[in-house]
Order: sequence, then C-alpha cells, then structure tokens
Amino acid sequence: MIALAYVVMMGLVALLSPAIAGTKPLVCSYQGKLYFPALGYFNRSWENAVFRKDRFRNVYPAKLREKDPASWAIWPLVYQDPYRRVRDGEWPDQPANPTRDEGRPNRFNLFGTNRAGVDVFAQMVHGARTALLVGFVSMGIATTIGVIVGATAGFFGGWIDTALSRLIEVVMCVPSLVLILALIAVLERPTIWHLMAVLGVTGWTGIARLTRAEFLRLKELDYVVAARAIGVGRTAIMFRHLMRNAMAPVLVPVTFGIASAILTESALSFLGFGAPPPNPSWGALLNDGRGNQQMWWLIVFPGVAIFLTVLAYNLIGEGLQESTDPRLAGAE
Amino acid sequence: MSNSVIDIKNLRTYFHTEEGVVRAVDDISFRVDEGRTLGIVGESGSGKSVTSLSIMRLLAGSARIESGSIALLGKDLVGLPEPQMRSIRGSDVSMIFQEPMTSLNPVFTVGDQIIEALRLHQKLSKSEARRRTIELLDEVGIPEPAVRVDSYPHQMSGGQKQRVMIAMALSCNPKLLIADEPTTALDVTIQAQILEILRRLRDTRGMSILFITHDLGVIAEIADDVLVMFRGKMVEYGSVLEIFENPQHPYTKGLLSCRPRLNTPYRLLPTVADFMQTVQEPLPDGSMTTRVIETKLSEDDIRRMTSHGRGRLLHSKSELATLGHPWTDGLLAPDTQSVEEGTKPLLAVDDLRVHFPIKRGVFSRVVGHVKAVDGVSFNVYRGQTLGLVGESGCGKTTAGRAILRLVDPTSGSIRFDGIDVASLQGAALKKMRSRLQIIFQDPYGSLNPRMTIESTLIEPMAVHGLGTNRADRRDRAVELLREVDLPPDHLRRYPHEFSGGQRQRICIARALAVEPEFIVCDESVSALDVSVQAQVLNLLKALQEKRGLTYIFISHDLSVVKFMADMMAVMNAGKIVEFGPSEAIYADPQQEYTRRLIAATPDDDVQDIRRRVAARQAATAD
Amino acid sequence: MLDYLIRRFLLAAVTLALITFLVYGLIRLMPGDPLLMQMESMGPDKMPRAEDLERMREVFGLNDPWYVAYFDWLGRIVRGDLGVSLSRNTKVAAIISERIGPTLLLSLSSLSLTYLLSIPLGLYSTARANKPDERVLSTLLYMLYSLPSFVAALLLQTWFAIELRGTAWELPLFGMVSDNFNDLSKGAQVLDLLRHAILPITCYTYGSLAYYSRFVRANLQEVVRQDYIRTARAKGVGPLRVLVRHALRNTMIPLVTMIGLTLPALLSGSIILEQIFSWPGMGKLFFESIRERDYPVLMGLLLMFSTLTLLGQLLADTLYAWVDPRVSYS
Repeated sequence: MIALAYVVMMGLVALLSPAIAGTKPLVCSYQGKLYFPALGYFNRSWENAVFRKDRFRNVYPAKLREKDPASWAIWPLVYQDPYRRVRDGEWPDQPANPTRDEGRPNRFNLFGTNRAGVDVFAQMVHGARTALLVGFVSMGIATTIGVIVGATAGFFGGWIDTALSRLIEVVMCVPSLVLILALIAVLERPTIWHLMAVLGVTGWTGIARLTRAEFLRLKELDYVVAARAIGVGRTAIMFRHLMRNAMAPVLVPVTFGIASAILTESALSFLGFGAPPPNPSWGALLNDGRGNQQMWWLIVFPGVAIFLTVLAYNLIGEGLQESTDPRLAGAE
Repeated sequence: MSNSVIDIKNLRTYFHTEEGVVRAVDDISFRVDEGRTLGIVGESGSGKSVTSLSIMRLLAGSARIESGSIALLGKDLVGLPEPQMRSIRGSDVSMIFQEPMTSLNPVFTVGDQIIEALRLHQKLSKSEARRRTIELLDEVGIPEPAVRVDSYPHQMSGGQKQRVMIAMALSCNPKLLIADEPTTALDVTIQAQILEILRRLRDTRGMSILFITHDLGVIAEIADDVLVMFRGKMVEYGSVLEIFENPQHPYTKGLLSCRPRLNTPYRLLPTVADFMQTVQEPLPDGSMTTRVIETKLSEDDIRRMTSHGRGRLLHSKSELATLGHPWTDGLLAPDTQSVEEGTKPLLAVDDLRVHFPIKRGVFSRVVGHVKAVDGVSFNVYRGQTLGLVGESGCGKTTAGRAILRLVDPTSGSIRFDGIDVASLQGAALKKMRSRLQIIFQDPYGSLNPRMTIESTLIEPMAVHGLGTNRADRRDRAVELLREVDLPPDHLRRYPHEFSGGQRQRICIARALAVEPEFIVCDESVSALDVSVQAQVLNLLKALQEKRGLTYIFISHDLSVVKFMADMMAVMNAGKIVEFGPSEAIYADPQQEYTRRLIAATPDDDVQDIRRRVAARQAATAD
Repeated sequence: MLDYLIRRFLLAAVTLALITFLVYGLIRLMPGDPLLMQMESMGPDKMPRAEDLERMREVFGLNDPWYVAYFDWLGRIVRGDLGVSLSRNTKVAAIISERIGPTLLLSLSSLSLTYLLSIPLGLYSTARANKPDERVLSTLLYMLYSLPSFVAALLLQTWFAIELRGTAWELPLFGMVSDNFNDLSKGAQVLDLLRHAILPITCYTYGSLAYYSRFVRANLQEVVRQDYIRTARAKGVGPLRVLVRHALRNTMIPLVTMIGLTLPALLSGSIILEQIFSWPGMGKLFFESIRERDYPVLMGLLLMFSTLTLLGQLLADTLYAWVDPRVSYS
C-alpha cells in the first residue's frame, strides 16, 4: 500500500516537475497574451518562440518586468533550475547558488548544489521524470517483444518454439549490462530514446519465458481443449482464452523490470553512458558526487531516491506475484 | 468388553479464518476398540480429515482444537506437550495419506525413510533397522524387498508407494493406524490389494484402524463400525451392518441410495435431496450451522420415482452374437431393446490407433512409440450410450479425444454418420465440431475463469452461427441454463462463484449450445461428490431422452459406467478387452481382466457385509 | 549421459556462434567509426594521418564487410588467437589473464560468504516464520535486496570518508593495494590487501546474501507445505530435523543449480563496483575497453562471458541430475 502510494507520488512529482522546481513561469501573461513557458521543460520546442525572439535567455522574472510591466505570472514552488545555476538577484532576496564544494543543503537549495552550482533538488525532481520515462518506455518495448515472442513460441510449439526458445537463450546468455554498454558505447550521440530502446531490446527475455510457460500451461487446460472442440478459431483461442489468462502473471516480471530499468538507467548515467549531460538524472548526480566524498549530499539524496523507487516497485511486484500465485489462488 | 485404543469425546476443531469461524469438526465422539476398524465416511468438507489430523495434532494454519478430549490408550492427547506428542506419533499411532505420489520424500530412498522411522522410536543399529525394513517391505508385499529397499520413490508405482507408506506406518507396531483416503488415488484393482493388506495386517498384528473415506463401498469392505459425518457433525454412528441395513438419518439413507451399484435396479438415481433438505442457521458466535429437515418420502416412493425412464438399447442381435454376448432374455433387464438388423451405426470406429513418439538422443531420434490406443474398433448407434471403462493409462481418454479430433489418430478410420472424421479439415471439420461435443472431468479447469457464463455459452453459438443476434443468443443461453437446472440470473457470473456440480452443469450447457447429436463424457462425474454425481448422472440421462443424444461415457468406475451405458467396452493397455451389453458383461464376464475388475469393485451388498461380519466374529472368538 | 553431453555441447557451440555473430554485427552496424572515435577522444591534435588510419583499418579488417570480418575473427578464435588490443598493443589473452585474479579474490570470497550465511538465515527465518524477530530480519533482508550495490558502495565510501576518517575504523576506499605495497613484509602485504578488500567484498556480498536467503526461505516454505513433510511429522520427526534433513535436502536442488548459474558472474566481476573502488579486475577492464573502443578486447570478453554462461547452464543441469534422484540424462 505504502509502495503504491510512493509510486503514485513519484508519478505526480515527475508529471508536475516544472511546477515544483523551475525558473520558468507555469502561466504568464505577456503583452496581453497567455503563455505556458514551463512546458519547455518537457520539450524545448513547446516553449513559446516569442520568448526566444525577445531574448529572455531563460531569465524570466527580470525580463518579464522589464519588457512588459503589466505582465503577471504564476511561478513554480521552488525557484531553481535543473540545468543551470541560479544567479544572485534573479529572484527577490535569493542569493546566487554556491559553487564547488560549498553548496551544502540550505534554505534555498534544499538538497544542496553541485560543483557548478546547479540545484540538486531541482535536478532530482526533474530526474524523476527521466527515471520513470525510462522505466515505463523501455519496459513497454520489452513487454511488447516479450509477449509476442513468448506467445508465438508457446502457442505454435514445434520448430517455431525451438527456434524462439533458442533466441531467448542467446539473448539471455550475454550479461545484460555488458550488452547494453557495448551497444550504447558505439552510438555516436546517444539520446535518452536510444537508451530506452536498448534497455527494451535487451530486457524482454524474462517476460518472453514466462509468457511462453503460461501459454504452454494454459494450452493444456480443459477449457482451451473445450474451445477447440467447439470449433473456435486459432486467433480467438489465442486472444480470448490464452492471452487474457496469461496476462496477470506476466505483470509480475514487468513490474520487476521497471525497477531494474530505472536502476540500469541510473547505473549507466553514473558510469557516464546515460543520457547526455543536460538531461537531469539521479545517476548523473551520483557521478558528480564521486569525485569528492565531502559533498555527501550529492550521494545521499539521489541514492536514497533510487533505493526507495526500486524498493517500491519490488514490493508491488511481490504483491502481484502473491495475488497471481496459482497455489494461493487455488486455496480460496 | 475389550479395551478402547482411542476414545474421543466431544471433539471440536474450528478454523479461524478472516471470514469468521468455521466449525470443521463440531462435537464428535467415538471410540475404537482393540483390533477393530472404524470407518469415517463423509463427502468433501465434512470434517473427516480434520478429525484425523486433530488426533495426530498435525493441524495446519488457523485450525485449532477448541474443546473435547482425545484419549489414546488412556492418555489425553489434547493438552500434551509437543515433544511427548512427537514420541507418540509414528509409534503408538501412525498415519497413511491419500496421495502416495507426493507423500514420500523424493530425495531419499524408501529404505532410508522407513529406517528413519524405526530408529526414531526404537534403539536399533543401522544394520538391524535395515534388516527390519526389508522384512516390513516383504510383509506389505513388495517383490524383491532386499533390492527395492534402495529404490527412490519415483522408481515405484502408486500402489507400491502406498505399500511403502503402510510399511513405514507399521514399522513401530502402532496400536492405531489412521488411514486417510488411502486408496482414493489408486486404481480399483490396486485398491483391492491395499485393502486386503490392511485387513491382513490388522488381524495378524491385532491393531486398530481408523479408516477415512468418501466411498461407502470401501467402508463396507473394511469397517466394523461406521461414523457418518456431514458438515462437521456426526449424523450417524453404529455397526457396519446397522448402517447399511437400517440407516436412521436421512443423510445416510440418501448417501446409501444415491450411489450407483453394480446390481442397482434404478434407471434414475435417488439423490440426497430426495431424503432431506438443509437450512443454514447462524450461531451466536457468528459461525454457520446446518439444520437438516427430513423429507417424508418412503423408500418405495423413491423407488417408484426412479424406476421410469428409458430402457437399454443394445446392438443388433447378430452383432451381439459376434461379440460373444448373444441376446439372452434372462440376463437382461426388462424393456431392453436391440437396434434393428442392418441399421447404420452413427459412429463407426475401425482399428483406431493413436501412438505418441518417444524421442531420444542427439538429434531427437524417435526410438519408440507409446501406444495409447492400439487398434480399437466399435460401433455406436443413434440414441445409445457406449461405456468405455478401464484403469488409468488404458487409453480410454485418448480414444475419446481422437474421435473428436482433439488428438490426431495415427491410423484407422472414424466414420460419423458416414463421414470420415479422421480426414476432415478446415470448414468441414468445424462443421463436424457442432455435431460432436465433449464434457471433461475437472469442473475447475474446464471453464475460462475470465469469461462470464453468458459469454461461455454464447461463444459456441457465435462460432457456428446459431441464433440471429446477441439478444437471441442470450435467450437461448437462458434456455440452456434452465435445461441444466440452473437459474437464469447466473448468466452474469464468473465460474469461481459456482460449486463443482454447478460448473459441471454449465459445461453440459456449453456442450449443448451447439445442438450436438453426440457427446463424449470423459470422466465427467469422477471429481464430484457422490450426492452431486447422482444429480449430474440423472441430468445426463434426462437430456439424452429429451434430445435423443448419443453418448460415449468414459469412466474408471465400473458401477457408474454400468448404470449409464447400454453397451460397455472394457479397455486395457490400449485395446478393447471385452465388448458387450453392460448387464451381460457384469453378469457373465468372458475375459479374465473383466472378472478381476468386477471382483475388485467395492460392493456394499448387505449379504456380503453380513457374511464378512460373521466371519470376523468367528475369527475373534477363536 | 555421454549422448546428452554431446548434444549439449553441440547446442552450446551453435548458441555461442550466434551470440558472437549478433554482437559483432551489432557493434559494426552501429553508426560511427571505431577508429575515428578512438582518435577523437584523444583530442583533435592527435588525429593520425590518413595513410596511418588506412593501414590500421587493414589490420583490423574494418575495410571488409562485417560478416567477412566476423568470419576472419572467428577463424582466429578457433585457432586460439584472441587478437591484439587496439589501445595497449598487448595480446588480449594476456590482458584478460592479468585481470582474473583480483576479480576472483572478490567474487570467490563473496560467494562463499553468501552460501555460508544465507542457508542458516533461510533456515532461521523459516523456523521462526511470522514471529517478530523473523519479521524484522526479513524486512531488513528485503531492504538490502532492493538497495542497489553501487548506491551502497557510494554511501559507504561517503560515510567512511566523512565520519570514520582518522578513527580506528578507517579503511582504504580505492585500489587493491597501497602505494607502498612493494616495501611491505609478506604479512603486512596480506593485511593491506584484506583491508582494501573489505568494502568491495561487503558491497559484493550483501545483495546476493539477501537474495539467496530469501530464495532459501521461499523454497523452504514451499517444501514445508508438501505432503512428504507431513509424512515425516506423522512418524514423529522433530521440527528441527524436519527442516534440516527433510526440507533442506529438497531446497538444495534449486540452490545447487544456482551455483552453476553464478559461474559467469564469478569471472565477469562487477563493472560498476570495480569502477567505484578502482579495483583492477575484469569489470574495470571491460569498462576501460568500452571507453577506449578497444574492440578486440571487448569481443574477447564477450566471448568469455558467453562461454561461461553456457558452461554455467551445463554445470547447473549436471548438478541438478546429481542432487535430484528423479532426473537422469541417460
């Protein structure tokens, strides 16, 4: 229950990250029109061109006042930016972010700042977005591949099954981090999307194996044989009778997979092979903190965040496993 | 009066579940005297196994003994500390279980497991214990005991494993042996052997047995006294002769008459519901209790009620003669008819073979075949019921599935209404599927758990284009439910909301949804309690008459097959051993195997019981 | 049995060929020129002359289509030649064998610690199932199981650096030996090595320890529900003996097969942990060769990891037949 609440909370933080920490107004009225510059955190091109034309240079509070005294704006809860250092006087009564190893947590930088003076709290809030995005998209890819491969192998059997099982074995044989690193390393400019694709392409084997096993088991059940005896077609048997009943157990490795994808993303970022620098990532923060043990806040906060997230998804996976366990279900 | 080995007074064992208290055993009292056998009989959920586990103090989970006393050799076990209880288990009282397949530890040899029991309770050296173990294995009839002592459980058959379990239970000369459904998982011929061993050991060792079973036939074969349990309560307790000759409680009466016997005169079976009704009443502590209201029906009423219905329909007289069971007036029940000479059979199976390859080696070479069905031929005429009976692994299920093309036959022909089913493909096969249907054994596995009853019943109609639209199909589904005696408001529910008997009715409704002419019933009542089994058998018979259906009725239970089938085929090792009218095969079996099967089927004939009781008394008087 | 082994080896060889083919192809088909990338990372001023580059391409077969190059490489492998490192000019085999020792030091001690501790922990938590102390222990193990090892390593390093510096508990945070290692006496050398190994071994071990104890416990709880355990209790066997003799033997079956599956991990080390602790093992080697785009070393390592994985699976199946009397391959 707590795990579920945490996951929901993290989802909200990720979704509302520009509203929690940022230097762009959520809503502002500028020269008589309404704009939503904070959307720029999701995608650069969503930030209205008018601000680039008017050379705002991301310093909204002063420029808004200067260019249009009648303007108003609604600001994020914390005026900090995940990409750059906030300078002195940008925001009323807020000093510049400290740099080097002086940025221990304070009133303005809740979790401190890194060596370049970028706020850790802002990076973590926006990093949650990266983590969740990677977790869900890569597992989405993995689930699609895994379910298709596993279902095909389990349903058709024979040489198709032999060939696909072989394929699963081959992919499983290569240690996943090794394969991922090898693939990422040869990319010229890896983006976060490449990363997700690679994680998805390497992470489907467990799902495929389980789907295949479920299909093989369900195929022998009397209700499937009864459907064949009735004359129900292959496709209908596959989807109506097998897929629907196989999906609940398959959710278990998917949930564990999300945890491991988030973990792998932060590990890769930590090693410097993650999404390129401007992307905020928990792993990248850890990498920042590696150089200097005195800057404990660069290790502790993202470390705890990774731990809690992995823990939450593992707990949910465990819960799902218990509820789909045939032994426990049979005892009802 | 002899000494009591165990004396139980007012035992109550409750389960404390999240939904509340369940009174699994509710005020049970009985005693077993030295050298006697008490049979506890009841259906699933009656609390008979919980009673035995209470004695052993092996209750699991939320079950607790609430009150009462269990005196074993004068010592009360209820409050006994665990270490003392442990020294009693396996020495003074020991137990054998239902599933010999899983009751032995797979990673130890059977010898090791018996030696362990011996050395736990007796001061024996390893070699002495081993010698003793070999003697015990010999005593329970394991061939070559000196070799088999080093076998692992998986190297033995089910019957042998149960013998090992008995040897282990007897290793420390217990005063009381608790046998919890020890023969339920075994074939009937093996069951007869195990019962024989138990009787012999009881007599040679002067031991007492508490025998728990759902099968009244088995009770009649082994018990001196009988206790009947119903929903946690004891409803009747008396000597075996009293119970079978003159049952007092309506439940006992119902149970005794709803069971098809080899010599049953009924055409439809009486059911427990003909004798009594039950009312659920809440108790002050929130748990539920069952009150029984007797239905005032004389047994004659019931006999009249169940003696109408269709008579037997046999093959033509010339065919019967070639089968070795010529038409003999005296042997056959009244109203028996035979089809006219020259009638075309609805289903003609000729030299059917189903072989499964065994693969081995580097390139999966086929090194041999499992000949599941090995040259089976028979005819079935319209409106007939053909019974296929045989022990596990005889090929009866595979034969049934091959006829429906659910497994592909290796060779032979299957002609249904003149069409060769074995060679049908695509649309023609699909069309054939609406004429041939099947009902399975396991009521839990044969319904898709994620489909409502409505979609389960509508799917076959949609596949075969029956009914004009969804509403029309739903009306048909309601009609089907009514036909199998289920209320129409069940349509919206999911399978898990139903009991085993109800699910089996839904399966029957699904098979009927495509308006078939021919149904294979594959062990369709084997997983059900006897009282429910009787209702489903009656339903199948009623549907046959109403719709003019033709059945192949497959079962391991000779008495059920004989009750249902006009013609009966006895199968063994993939072949039909004997084929003829059910009555004739029972009255005058021609083959040795059939005779063995009939002899092994437990009978609760009162004359037999009387004879056995007299013999027992004579033996103990000596 | 022999028949079975031959069959397995043939299958493994095919799988291995497939893996390397796939990986080789993937690496080669990725955008970017391995040689150019390597040079770029050294800085623009060190860009080699075009003819030098061409000569290197020739040497490493980069001018051939990738499948031709693959079969060239495979041919050399079959002859036992792993090739020469791009960035170090040393034989790949020599580099690898130099790095195996440090990795084995970590992985073997971690593996033995894991097995030594997880079985008693699993037994304990099964015996005391649902008692308060078991709840606490299980929760703790679960937390450890979910704590990523590199996060733990970083937290430990931070803690040791800030809180324990200068105390008696101070431990070296990086490297395998101290700078003055060669001047130390034999005994002091061993001590020095051990002190360096404590933190890496801890991080290596706790995760697998948590995983294995949970695994042992889950399996035991499954086995304890079986009918044959009831049989054992019905013949008067005490609770401890039931657990240790009857249940544990059955639990050993999946546990022993896992030994086989850990074989590759024994030698591959942990990329991240070795990186964090600057431990000169296989994981660090892999990471370095990735950064330097050292393809011969990378392919050599991949080949080794995959071979070990396949061997591990074979070992697992063989062990399985050995501990479970029901399984035989003859």
